[in-house]
Amino acid sequence: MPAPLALLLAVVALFCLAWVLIVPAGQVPDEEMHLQYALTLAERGELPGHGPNGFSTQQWTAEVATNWERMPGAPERKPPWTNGEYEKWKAADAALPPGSKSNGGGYIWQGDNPPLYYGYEAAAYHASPGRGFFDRLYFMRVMSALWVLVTATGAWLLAGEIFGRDRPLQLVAAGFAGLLPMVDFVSSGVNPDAMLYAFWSVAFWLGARILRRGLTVRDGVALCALVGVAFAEKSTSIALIPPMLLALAVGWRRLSRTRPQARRVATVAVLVSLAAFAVPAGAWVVTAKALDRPITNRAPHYVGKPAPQLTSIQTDRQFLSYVWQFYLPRLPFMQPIPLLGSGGDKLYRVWVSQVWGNFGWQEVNFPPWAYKGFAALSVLLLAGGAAAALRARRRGHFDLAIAAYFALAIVSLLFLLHWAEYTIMSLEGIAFNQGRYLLPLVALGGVVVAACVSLLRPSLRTPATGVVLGSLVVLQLFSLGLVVERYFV
Amino acid sequence: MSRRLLVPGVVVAVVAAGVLALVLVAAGNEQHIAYPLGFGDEGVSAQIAPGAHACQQGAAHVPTSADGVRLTLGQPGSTPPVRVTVFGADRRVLGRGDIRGGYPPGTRQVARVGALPVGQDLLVCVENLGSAPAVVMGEGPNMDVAYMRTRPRSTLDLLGTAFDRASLFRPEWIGAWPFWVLAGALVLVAPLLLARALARAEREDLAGDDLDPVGPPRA
Repeated sequence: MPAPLALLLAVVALFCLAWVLIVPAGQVPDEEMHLQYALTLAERGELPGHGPNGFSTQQWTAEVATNWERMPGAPERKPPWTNGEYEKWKAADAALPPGSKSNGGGYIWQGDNPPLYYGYEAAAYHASPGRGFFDRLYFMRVMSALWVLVTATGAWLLAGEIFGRDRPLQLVAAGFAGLLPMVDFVSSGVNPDAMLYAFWSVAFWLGARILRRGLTVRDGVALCALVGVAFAEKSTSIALIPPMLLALAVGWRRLSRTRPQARRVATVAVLVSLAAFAVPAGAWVVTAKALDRPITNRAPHYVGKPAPQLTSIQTDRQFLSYVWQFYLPRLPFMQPIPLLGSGGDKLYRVWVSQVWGNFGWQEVNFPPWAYKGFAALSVLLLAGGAAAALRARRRGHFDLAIAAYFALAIVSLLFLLHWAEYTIMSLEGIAFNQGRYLLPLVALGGVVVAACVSLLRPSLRTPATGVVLGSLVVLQLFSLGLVVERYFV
Repeated sequence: MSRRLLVPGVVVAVVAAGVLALVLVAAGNEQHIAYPLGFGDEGVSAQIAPGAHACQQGAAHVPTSADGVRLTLGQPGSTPPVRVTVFGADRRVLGRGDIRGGYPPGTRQVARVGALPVGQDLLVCVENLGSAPAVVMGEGPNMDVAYMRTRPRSTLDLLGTAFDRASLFRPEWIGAWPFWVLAGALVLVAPLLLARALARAEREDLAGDDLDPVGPPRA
């Protein structure tokens, strides 16, 4: 492993450990549910949905003792602060009757997720050196946080494909992916997004590799198997399928043109790659069908209130209106969408602000002025990335297929997220999207930052990388400080 | 300054400046709230007739020192003076203080009740001393009560206490010390490791493509 990457990963690991330890149990979004899923697999050997209670008595006892349920969204509510309260929980936990660990497993919405991540966490649960509830929970968190190292490594490799062997640029891309506080915060809880970010990060690298170096059976199989595994990890990864197919199609076309017999080789590579996708993805589909479970997360079901369908022209029109109002002010002829107000501010409030810092259950934030700075920085970075792309195009280094690969992944993810939000808004009247849902793209964010640094003279790139990495450390320290203050001061 | 020192020095300097800023912010961040019970203040929790009193729903464990009680009081036309009394678990009076009438409706007001004992179950009662009804805001029957320090402490000053609190409900062997070790590592070791990473990155970058385990040759 290159030394700069190894040193960076050590720093990323330190910060992840800090996030693991500092954030109180249950205060990473949806951790309660994801933990329930993993515990159901670990203790009952089944997927959630058939258990006698929503949560096991042991989990519920710990939740009540730690104020777990009362803190989300209420910044003034604190976890218990005294040893007496801890001892009280310990006594209550020790007195639980047999079966208290395994009597959960009831239906939870997250129970529709595929089981890969939860199986991994169930193994961590059993492998934990401590046997207490919090021993196991925190060990599971550590195992989850390890995926950030993969996320950062994926960004390093991706930057290597985009910029060639340029260590400072690779370091800054990997540093951004591994040290962005929200990535570490979410990944350091029991949350399948930890694995999701890692898979996406590596998928970006593998796709770029195929497009840059040409399709081989090895690279095609690696990309497609990864996307198949990612699909069996979280339904969000459906959005990786279109770019995967694009990479295969472009790879096939480019390889077919190289020599007369190459078309056959290219076709074999594509078919073997697709088979590599079908194995893990198909395994989940078959398992889900056999267990009579949905393959992807279901829309909430209400009698007499049908879920929106893409096949309805009226729905499509309303959906487009919703997307417009998410990003831009509402036009006079548009029907208002209650949760979007006069329209146009969600881009800033959700996609920009919440990516930079939105901790706890969304109640731990920087002061409002800081987000204006983050927005300005985001615009600057995107402009720098665009300038670098234009310069590369002028110099003939720009590969349109790679850009299309990234763009298709971004558009697919956004479509998925907007369709999910539109459906949930229509049925339940609540907003769904959060900035963290964009974090599967964090490796691309790293490439954008590296592209900005690449605009500088070569002699300035390493110092600029130092400024970026130092700033990320400072942002991490302030973010951790916010969290310490929210829960423990 | 030679480039060998300048390059890693950049990251150390940026982090040092950031840590200094963080310390200054934490030192200047005054914490008046000793322990909030954390109920919202959106609804009316109690409407108290003149001369009558109302108490908080059940005693609450207060783990830290405090000498004031904060309540959200009043609605337009109902801002009478109130007396706040703090009882211990044995119903003994542990503190008492008044809030003068005429406060802006729906605002948070603090009664100085004197030093309260640490780590006990405390119950707050509010007595209406005026002639108009007193309104205490809260969440359902739970009053929006916070125990206060009239002499605030800074976040920096409370860091050790915060680490003690953070060590609870963690793996059995975790005390406050891992938090101190981690804090030291993040502030001192992390920037040094990054500085070294930068120096190595520049050296490898200049060394040529033969070290490349990943990317294609540079254009």
